Amino acid sequence: MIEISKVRKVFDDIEAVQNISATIQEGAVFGLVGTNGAGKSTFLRMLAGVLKPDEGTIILDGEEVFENGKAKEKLFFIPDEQYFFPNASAKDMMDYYAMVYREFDKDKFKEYMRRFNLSMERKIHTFSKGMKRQVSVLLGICANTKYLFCDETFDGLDPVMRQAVKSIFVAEMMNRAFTPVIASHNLRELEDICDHVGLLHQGGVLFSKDLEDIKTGVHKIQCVLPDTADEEQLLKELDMLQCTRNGSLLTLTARGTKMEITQRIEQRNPVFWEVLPLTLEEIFISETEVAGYDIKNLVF
Amino acid sequence: MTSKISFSKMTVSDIKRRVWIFAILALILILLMPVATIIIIDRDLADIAKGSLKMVELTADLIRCVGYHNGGISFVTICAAIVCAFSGFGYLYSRKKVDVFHSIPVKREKLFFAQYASGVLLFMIPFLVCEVLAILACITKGVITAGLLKAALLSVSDNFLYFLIFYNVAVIAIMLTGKMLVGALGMLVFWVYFPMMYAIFQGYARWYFNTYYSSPWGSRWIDWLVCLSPVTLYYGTQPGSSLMGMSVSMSAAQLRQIAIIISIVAVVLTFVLLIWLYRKRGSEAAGSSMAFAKSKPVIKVLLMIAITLGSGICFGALVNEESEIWLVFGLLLGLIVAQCFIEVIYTYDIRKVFSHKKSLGIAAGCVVLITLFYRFDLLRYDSYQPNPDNIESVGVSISALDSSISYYMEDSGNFDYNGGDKYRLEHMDLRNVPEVYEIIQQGIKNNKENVTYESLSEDETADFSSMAVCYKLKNGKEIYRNYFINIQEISDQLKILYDQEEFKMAQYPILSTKAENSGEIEVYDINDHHAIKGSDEDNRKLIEAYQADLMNLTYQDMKENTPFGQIIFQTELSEGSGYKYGIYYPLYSVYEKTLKQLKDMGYEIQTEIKISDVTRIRVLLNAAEYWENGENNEGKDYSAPEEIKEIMDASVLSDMEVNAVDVDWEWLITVFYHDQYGHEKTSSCMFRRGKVPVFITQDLDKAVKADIES
Repeated sequence: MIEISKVRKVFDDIEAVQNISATIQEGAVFGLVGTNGAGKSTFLRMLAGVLKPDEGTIILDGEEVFENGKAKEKLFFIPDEQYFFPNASAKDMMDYYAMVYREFDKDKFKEYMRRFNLSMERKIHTFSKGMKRQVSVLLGICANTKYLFCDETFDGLDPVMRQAVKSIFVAEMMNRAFTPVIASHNLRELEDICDHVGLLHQGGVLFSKDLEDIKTGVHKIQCVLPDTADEEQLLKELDMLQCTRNGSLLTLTARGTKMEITQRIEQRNPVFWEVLPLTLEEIFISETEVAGYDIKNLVF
Repeated sequence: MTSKISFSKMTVSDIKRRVWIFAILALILILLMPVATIIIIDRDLADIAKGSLKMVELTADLIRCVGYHNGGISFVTICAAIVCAFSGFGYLYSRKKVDVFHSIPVKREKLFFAQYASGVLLFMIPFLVCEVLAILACITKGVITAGLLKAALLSVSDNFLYFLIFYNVAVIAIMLTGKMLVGALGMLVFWVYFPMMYAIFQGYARWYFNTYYSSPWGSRWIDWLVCLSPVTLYYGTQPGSSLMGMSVSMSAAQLRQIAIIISIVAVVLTFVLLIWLYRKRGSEAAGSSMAFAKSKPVIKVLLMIAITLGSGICFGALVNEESEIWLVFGLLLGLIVAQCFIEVIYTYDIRKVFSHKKSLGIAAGCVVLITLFYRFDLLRYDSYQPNPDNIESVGVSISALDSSISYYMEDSGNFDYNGGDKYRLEHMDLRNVPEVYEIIQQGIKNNKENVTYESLSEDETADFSSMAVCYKLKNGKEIYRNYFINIQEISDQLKILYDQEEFKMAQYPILSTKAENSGEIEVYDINDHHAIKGSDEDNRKLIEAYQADLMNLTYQDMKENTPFGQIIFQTELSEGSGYKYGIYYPLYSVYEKTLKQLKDMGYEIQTEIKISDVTRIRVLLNAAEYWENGENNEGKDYSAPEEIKEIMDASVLSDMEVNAVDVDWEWLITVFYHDQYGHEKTSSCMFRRGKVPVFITQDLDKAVKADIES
């Protein structure tokens, strides 16, 4: 388990991460989502022990992460921009990480490389961007660390490879203690793999919840009510995240259980109403809108 | 357990990744060391076989090749240090590299030591191998000597030492910065900052302090500034170095020893510093200009002070030394340029060139304070006079006396041709000679009255001389000043000073030379050159006679006469060295013992020009515009016997030096005469002051009058 307590990081006069507290449970896929500049990469770099928090603590299985080899042995960090040694082949990188990580499984790496149709001997700088991503992920998985921190790792992977990597994650989680932490703003990618999502916004955590709780706690409804007074009353009664109107058709995104919300609507004798499927992306936009990040201001 | 294994593995792994450095270094060093050694041996052995070279010269050539004097190897050492540092720690400039290296389960200290060690090994291994190969080549060719082996060992130790200094300094520059370009600039700043500050302080002292004396062998705190640069430290170990021409040159032997000691200390201190910096450096520094926000204003202020003061003195001294306006202009320009330059480097944003005004203000304040410090002599440098009770002894060096004698500095192996201040001040310990303080008082008075070379006319300056003074205080300090004295006004004091044995012994190294160490002797008299071919005993007697005459020479003798010729003693430069060098000493007609000994050895020395041999005398009023620019610019010739006699009686020879004789510097006299073989010769003379014959001044008046009328 990783316990993050009141972590703060400032670069010059920019507060990249402010007072973040969260808990990452073992055996779950933790998705870290957030707007651009929300502090996802900084947060992950602190989790990986690259950056030292200015304030607060990051405890990984009871150990402070920064400058602690014992804690770092349990994590592997795949940054958003991967670095491979000049002129290195996948074999060279495997040898280096095998030297650094005691549990590195060379056979597994070779096997995955074969399955992904990647050459062990070819110079990595001749690989495509997606192939380099694959090598990074495979190196991270084969390091056999308990935690794997991926920063925008799925960007650049084609859908087939993305699915393949996801299936490797699932297999690893079934076979050993494995907790991936994946930062991304591609919410559709996280939706079908994450168990828990933390939403960062402007350096702070807007929420950190299980995906199921999020999906059962926020709903999107379309309805037509008889008069304006009913509409106003309904909007007051619901915990609204978003409301748009198209003629007499209201589209509402609100917090609450499905039962609570439908009861409130039925009390207003609607002409028409239905619950629409809500994507994680819509929840993300709604939540960040409430926090003052109005996407409409960005659409010209 | 894991970490112990990974250190050596990590070092080897890093060496493998940077094996290109190893390959290039090995190639260059093989060419510079074993290959060059074999070429020298083959070439020199062939010359030895022909008889055109001696074995000792082959050894000297080999020492130059494999020893620490090899400039090519030194250059490679410095380049290797820079390349190893930037290739090893350059990852700190890249966020993506830092993300890899700082997230792996290896402590940063261990990572640092592995990178550091691999950089050192990348240089040391090829260097050692090549040095060993070069020595093996010497052994197999049978030309190895103990001296050569010693030189090779010194080369290894020196190059390793200076590799480490340049390496550490480059790594410190990397630690302090976040971009490669800024790091390279930072390294250059470490190289030049302190020598530059030294030169700047010297420049201001020369500008504002009339009595400033830049002691060329360093004894003040400021002289140690140059030792804070790896470049000057390295240069300080080279034979005969004078620290890039700057005034801080102790003797080369002293400097080398001191430089090596300081270098060892510097290696240790810089290593500790860079470990500390590495620990403190955040990974987020990659990509920023400066790694430590707190260091930014400090570095900026220090750089701005140096750039601004340097710009001020450059404009002031180079454009117009008379005016402070250019100095102020230079200061303002330097301040603005430095502010813009540093802020652009810090922010990479041209719009922010005038940001951080607080540090700009502090730098400007420091510059103003330093300039005022010199301008108003706040430490009263110029009026300094030590309390007589605190003075152990005094040494003086008067540039107008015996300016033609060169002084061999045994400790540096160099000759001092510039009046021998160092030799004289080092060897002169005047005690209980109150006259020396009277002379100094005149210098201080002249300074107070602003009597300088610039304030006097060309003719007036001829009577003046600069005088370097070294106060050797009882507390061990040596304080140097330079005064401007009128030697005619203080001739009474100089008479007493000159007759002191301590003065003469420091003024004339020949007085302390053992007669048996002398080699060939030559004499130049009025007409001839004589190579003295005497027995050892005769030569010894001649030297002893010269020493006695020189010791008996009084200031009054020097006031009345100028030297008629020179004697050259080939003396051994240092005992057992085998090298001999001729040092010129003046011959006066009052040197009875010397002249008698020469006569006894069969040499008839001409001490004067016989009036009967003179055919004509050309007199030129040097300062008179009429004679300089008119048709008589060649001067006027006099050939009547009575005119020749009158001119000769009123003048002294000036071919060598006039020393204390009070002469009229306005006139130049060329005497044309025949030697004993009938050949026409010329000699230069000068009129004694106030003795210019009346007919000459009348001729000048007539000529001027005629010119005005025409």
